[in-house]
This record gives sequence, structure tokens and C-alpha cells, in this order.
Amino acid sequence: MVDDRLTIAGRELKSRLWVGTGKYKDFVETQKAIEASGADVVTVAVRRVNITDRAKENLLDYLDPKKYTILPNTAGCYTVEDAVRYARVARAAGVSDLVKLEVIGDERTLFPDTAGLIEAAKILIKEGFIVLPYTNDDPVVAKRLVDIGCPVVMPLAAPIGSGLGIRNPYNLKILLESVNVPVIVDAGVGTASDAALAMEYGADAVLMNTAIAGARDPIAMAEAMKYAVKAGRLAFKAGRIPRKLHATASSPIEGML
Amino acid sequence: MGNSSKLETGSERAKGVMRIRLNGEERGITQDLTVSALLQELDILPDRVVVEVNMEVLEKQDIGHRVLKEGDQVEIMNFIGGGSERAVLLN
Repeated sequence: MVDDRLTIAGRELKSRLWVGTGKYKDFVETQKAIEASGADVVTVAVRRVNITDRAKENLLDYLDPKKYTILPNTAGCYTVEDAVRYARVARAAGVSDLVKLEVIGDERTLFPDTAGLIEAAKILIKEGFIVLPYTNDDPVVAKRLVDIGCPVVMPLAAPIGSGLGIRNPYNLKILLESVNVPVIVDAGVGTASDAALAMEYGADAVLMNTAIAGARDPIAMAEAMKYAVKAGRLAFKAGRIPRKLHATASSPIEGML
Repeated sequence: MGNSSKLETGSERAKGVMRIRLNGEERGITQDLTVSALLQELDILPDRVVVEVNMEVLEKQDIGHRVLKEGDQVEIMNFIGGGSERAVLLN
């Protein structure tokens, strides 16, 4: 599938699996899991440096910028002001103009505040950011995000870290036919089949963190996800057969005794 | 005690100590310290962090000549592992 590359804001990406870097045991495990996943987009969060008990090592020492597109997020931001502030800090780090924009609206579900998301996206786009918005599986909101200049939309499959898989496949399918930009299913994947399903529906990529980092063997799960995303993408392009209630024999009747 | 005066509080002002808010906590630092000197004092490499002073993000080239003032709110940030997760927010 050499020609099946995903292009986002002029960046050509090899992998349709994007991964987060949270919740790993240490940086070495993070690095190994990312390597095994084959992902070339990795998300990072922006946080205060621990002044009193500061680790000498930095996550970026483990992520080769030539190999990976570093995608800073605004995870944990509950207001437009905070999300914009974190995005500006992220950009000043000098790794890219990309930001995975999250404006969280509810602490228990971590569902996005889509009104706040649109507002923050407008501000950041005006400042020259390339905004990749984490949004609900709402086709109307997705269209708004595209209208204001987001080059992709990133609808959730289920609440962040829930591992519930795609909870609203019909909405996701409607969303996929509603926008003409790449759709990256972000959050809620639990296991390989969830990722494959998202790709079979026609998602352009899948972003996950907990499903890999939280698995009993994160490295093996990262590899499983790599194949799941590839398999799902191939199946989507190949075109599945329609579902039928009754059997259709695969072997011909002709020539039987 | 004497050689740790840079980090002391209150009446030390006369000796050239001022108060700032650093990553959410009160801290006494030497007066007229630049941001890069503060980073050096904290043993933090400037190329891996981003510094905000009073909500304004400093560009890398500005940290060498930005002089801190009494009462400044300084945030030193970096990238950590994250997908989408609950976070400790800035104040």
C-alpha cells in the first residue's frame, strides 16, 4: 500500500495508526511500544516541570523528531482560555505548529465541550496553528470544524480511556460521509478489532493511547494495533460483501454425485 | 544558612531577594535575575522547556534578556507523555 499515504496539512504520513505517549511504565517502554506500533504521529501533553524532584530525562530524548511527527495536545483543558494557552506553550517548544485541540466539557466522561472547541479552534487558526480537533461523533459539529479551517476532524469512538470501542457506529458513518477531510477516530478503542472496525467504516486513521499502554503487554498490543489498522484499511478499500440473512453456498452444486 | 540566601523569604529583600510565583508556588530569588539565569539556578536545560511570564509565552531567543520582576508569575513547562488524560491545570 505504498500509495495509500495519508496527507495532513502537507505532511505525508506512512502510518494510519497514531499513538499517545501517556501511562507507560517508563520512557523505554514508551519508545518500544511506539516502535512496535509503526506509528509516525505521536501525541504529547504539556505540563509543568517538577522543580523540586526533576527527572533529568525528557520524553523528547526518546522520540526522534526525524522519525515522528510530534503532536502536542491540550489534554486536561476545560476552558477555551486554557486550551489556547497550552497550545501557545506547545508551539513555543518549537516542534511544530500542529496542535491536537481538546476542550474538555465534563470531568466524568471527558467528553469534549464542542462549543468551546470551535471557539478555541477559531482563535488558534487565526494565529497560524494547524488545529486537529478532538470532537464528539457529531456530524454537524464536524462540519463546523471543517468550515472554520480544521484540516481533519478527530471524533471519539467512546470516552477517553474507556476501551468501549465504537459506541455509535451510525453517527460515525454519517460523520464520515459529511466531511471531505481526513477523519481520525480518537479515543475509546479497547482492542484490535475496534481499531479494525473504525478503519473498515472508512476512518482515515485511528489515535489511541490507553488501549496500548494499559494492555498487559503493551508492546504486543502495539503490534496488534498496527496490523488491525492495516487490515481494516485494506478491507475498507477492498469493499465488504453485503450482509444477507440466508446462506449462499460457496461451493458449486454442479458436479455433485 | 548564609549561602542559601537566594531562596530565603521576607526580610531578605534588602539583600537583593525578591518574591516570584514559580510553577504555582511562592519562591524567593535573586533580584534582577534573567529567565535563563533562573533556569540555570534550577539546573534546567532551556532547550527542553517553555517559559511563561505573566501568561506571556517567551520565545527561545528572549529568555536570555528577560529580567524577572517582583511578583512575576513564572511557569516552566515541558512535554510529558500524554494521549488524552486528566491533568493538573495551571492556576
